[in-house]
Amino acid sequence: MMELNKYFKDHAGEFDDYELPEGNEVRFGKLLEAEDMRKILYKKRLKWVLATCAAAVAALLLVLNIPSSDSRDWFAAVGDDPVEVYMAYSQTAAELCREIYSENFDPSVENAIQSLTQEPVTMLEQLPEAMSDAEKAAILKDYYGKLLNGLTELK
Amino acid sequence: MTRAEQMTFYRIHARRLFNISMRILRDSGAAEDVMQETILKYLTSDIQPLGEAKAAAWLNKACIRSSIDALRKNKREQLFLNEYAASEQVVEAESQQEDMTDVEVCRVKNAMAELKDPYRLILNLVLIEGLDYDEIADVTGESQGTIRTQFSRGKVKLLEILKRYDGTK
Repeated sequence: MMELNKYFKDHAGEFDDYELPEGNEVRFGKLLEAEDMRKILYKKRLKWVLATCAAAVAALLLVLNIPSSDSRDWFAAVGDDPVEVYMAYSQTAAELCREIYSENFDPSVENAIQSLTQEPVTMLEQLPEAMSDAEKAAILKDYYGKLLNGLTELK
Repeated sequence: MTRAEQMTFYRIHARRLFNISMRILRDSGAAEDVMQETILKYLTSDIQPLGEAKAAAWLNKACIRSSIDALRKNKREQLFLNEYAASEQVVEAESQQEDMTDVEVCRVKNAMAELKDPYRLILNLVLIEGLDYDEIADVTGESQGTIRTQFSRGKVKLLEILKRYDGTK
């Protein structure tokens, strides 16, 4: 006498009898092409975002007559979490601003401070969602590092 | 992987995964979509290239999960009626005479197709896909108790259908 569980074990391979629909390989090929296209568009968008950020920072430093010094490693203690990078930037920027405002403050740099610290849309929100956390963190460290260098020069 | 390698990989796994999905969804268009999305997810993911057996196991699990999600979406309601399950006694299917000797596979397939969900789904996952109650609970989000109950009841129903087929022989 054979019980149900054993029956199914013994006849395991015989239940795979549905045939693949015609044209399935062509359809899958199209999915692969669409995926390749998505990756190309993602890289293009990333390049655009990076180029725009670099241009914006360079223009800002130029207008404010601030020499672009080598990046200090503002984020040495921060890992690859983009949110942590942003929070470290916010904290450091706040500290630098407190120092600028307290030490013989020159009102003529007020506009420069605003330009360096105000972000209607944060860089973190502008980065493509599909980007990995490590990639986002690297971009943010570079971008916010330059802004912090700018604030340091204003001190 | 090159495009040619990707298509070779597809050909190795497509039929098996399509069958897994068809048994759950019973719709060839939906089953093909799930099967292809599953393979695409593997090919585009960061998962280290797995050995053949591990890749197959990963794909099977992912395909089952996606098929159940699709089934749930189509039904727009719970697959399992917990209240119903709790109110009835668990039927001990083992107490029934389960003599499957000489039963043709095609009759069993027809009987399985006649079963209503969730019995069909549970029997499929346990008897054909070989999942244990833990894994089914994880994939469906249902309690092990509910799954055991539905499996026991499902076996009884299947045997009743097969008996009915015998009567019409």
